[in-house]
Amino acid sequence: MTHTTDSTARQDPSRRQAIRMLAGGVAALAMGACTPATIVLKAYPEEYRKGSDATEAALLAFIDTVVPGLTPAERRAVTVLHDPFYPLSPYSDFLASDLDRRSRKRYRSRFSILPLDQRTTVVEAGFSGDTITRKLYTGAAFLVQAAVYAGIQDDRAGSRLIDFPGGYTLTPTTTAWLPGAPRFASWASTTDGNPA
Amino acid sequence: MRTMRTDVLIVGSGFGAAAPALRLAQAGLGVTVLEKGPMVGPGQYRQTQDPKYLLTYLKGLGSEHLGLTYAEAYGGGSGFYEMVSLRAPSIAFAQRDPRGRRLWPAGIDRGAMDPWYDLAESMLRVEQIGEGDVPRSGQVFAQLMARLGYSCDRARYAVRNCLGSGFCVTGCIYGAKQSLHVNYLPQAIAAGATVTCDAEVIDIRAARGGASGPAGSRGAGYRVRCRVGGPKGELVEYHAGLVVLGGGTVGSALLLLRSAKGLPNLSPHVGRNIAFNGSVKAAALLPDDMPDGDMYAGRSHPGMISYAFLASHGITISTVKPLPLQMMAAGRLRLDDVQPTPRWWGAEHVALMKQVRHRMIILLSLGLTPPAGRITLDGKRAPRLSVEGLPQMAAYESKIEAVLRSILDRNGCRPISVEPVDRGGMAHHGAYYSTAHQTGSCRMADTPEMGVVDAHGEVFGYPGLYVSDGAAIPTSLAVNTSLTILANAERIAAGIVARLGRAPVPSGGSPMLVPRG
Repeated sequence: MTHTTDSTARQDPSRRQAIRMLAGGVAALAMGACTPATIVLKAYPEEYRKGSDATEAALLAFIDTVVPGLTPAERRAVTVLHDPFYPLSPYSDFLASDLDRRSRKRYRSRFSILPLDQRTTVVEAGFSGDTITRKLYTGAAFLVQAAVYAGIQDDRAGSRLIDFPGGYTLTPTTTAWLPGAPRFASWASTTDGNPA
Repeated sequence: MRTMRTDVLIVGSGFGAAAPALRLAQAGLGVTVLEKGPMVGPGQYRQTQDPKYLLTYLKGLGSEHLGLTYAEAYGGGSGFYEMVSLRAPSIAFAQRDPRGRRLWPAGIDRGAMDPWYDLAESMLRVEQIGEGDVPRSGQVFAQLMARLGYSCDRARYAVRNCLGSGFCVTGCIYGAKQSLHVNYLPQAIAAGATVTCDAEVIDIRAARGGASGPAGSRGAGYRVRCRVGGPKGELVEYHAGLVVLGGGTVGSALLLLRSAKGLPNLSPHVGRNIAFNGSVKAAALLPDDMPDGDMYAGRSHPGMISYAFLASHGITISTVKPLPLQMMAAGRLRLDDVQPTPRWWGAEHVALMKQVRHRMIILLSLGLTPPAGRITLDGKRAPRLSVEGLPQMAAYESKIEAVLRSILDRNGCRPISVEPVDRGGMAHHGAYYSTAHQTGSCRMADTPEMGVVDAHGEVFGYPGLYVSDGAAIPTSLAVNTSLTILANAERIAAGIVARLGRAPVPSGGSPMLVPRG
């Protein structure tokens, strides 16, 4: 796949983009800020359309930056950034393009092939962007964390990373309770547990 | 629009609605229960963190400084709560407003409520748990309190044969939780009540002329429009002699606000005076000399509660065991004794999250915060939530957090900051309270100048229209609210039956309506 730069794409928008840009011109003027206009007009490279290799690579790297330590399979299982149930879905392709844009600007390289410390710097910059960008990065990171730690894609999966066993797994009582229960009781102030 | 007739229309099927449904059906009245949420029960519950499942039943209403969670489902919140069933302390009933007026109506205090608590407890089979039923995190909490000389009591639960799966808050798949699905609601149906789910009441208006109510009722009854079968379902108008609102603190307030045209003389207090039980939290890592807790083993509530600060600060203290999704939704966690301030994401955050299961302790206080929340409708009739007295709220939060921090610090715990976030993950600024213990949006009072309903739960100026849920409870309680809501609903139901001159007719194995004492 040939990768175009942001500036190339902006100078040579597709016909569809051009129509969108015309249609959205008034809205863009009204909104003023850069990020919302870019999102509304989809004024970012075509290669970042939903499901493209570039989008996938950037988003998987984003997941690995927000929650380092996942296996490739665990990263791929995180679908919240694409899933239309979640509010970020319409903006995930923009997020991918923005990650690569910031990465190229700072490190002259795609986001997905940067080492973790450089990816962290790029994401940090997104959190410090304009209001909409900040909300987008924050929302994406928040969703990724929730998905990974809570194992929301699979009731039984849990989260290996934080030792959350997931649903339908009963902990044996021998480990759920500390042995010698009375040792851990404080003095009781009531006879039946109800406050006076 | 189809028209239906019923003696009694009950809105909702949770703690505030189920008791009137049962008692009025037992008294021989024709009872129709309309539940906005879907039918769900032990056969449909899942042990999951999937928001698609949870958001089907659990709803939220939030603002920058207050977040309310409530259920819309058959059985209301009873399917999803932690089963903790405690009586409110005496001091909760003694609270006063800034002008010195008692907030609870005359004659209602702990002593007056105790017989109704007895009845509610017997229906839910509430018992104090045994020493061997306290999960690890509760044991560790008790030891933290014991090391400082503070008392700690085993809590009381509505449960039988608990397996300790740790997913109480997503619904008990084993049917161990004594939710309303296994007592009030089936007994109400057996006594003749009909229950319709996916039925949203749109508005209520007072009927003019004629007597459409059951024998002995006052007034001409009410016309209640509802949509059955979801947003695109059938419009139905019920003609009801009595209407009992039990849709919860948020639901009942919204319904009355949306009914202002048909109920023009409602008190201006509708939607105001929401108390939120002063939920304040503090988190930390346990010191090395403490044994491991376990966030994910055993029932959702850790089983221990301390009343050591009830007299001095008006608070109860327990610990909480949030599932990971609840923890993420609650706020950003960071170690508080590290410079520079760690990120809430990335490698440092993963390292902290790895300690959550066994080494984290979260203290939660519930307290007597004044009624300060308000629900209104915006121009599109959508709900808006606001709070008054922000400086006082912030001061209360700081004061109580200092108490919790002191307990953790003196035990040698490492502090963790919890920065509350909204549903998009953005940080809240300033004081922020989140709770599922909201009460008071249509509060009981002695006069219409102070509240929406009288001590019997009847709406001022509208005979035969009642509020029997958390909306009627006028104050914070400093403990979980479910048992008090249920006990008060029993009291209101008994009053309705008595005023109609009906004799209670127990059926289905439930106790007599008239309580002991």
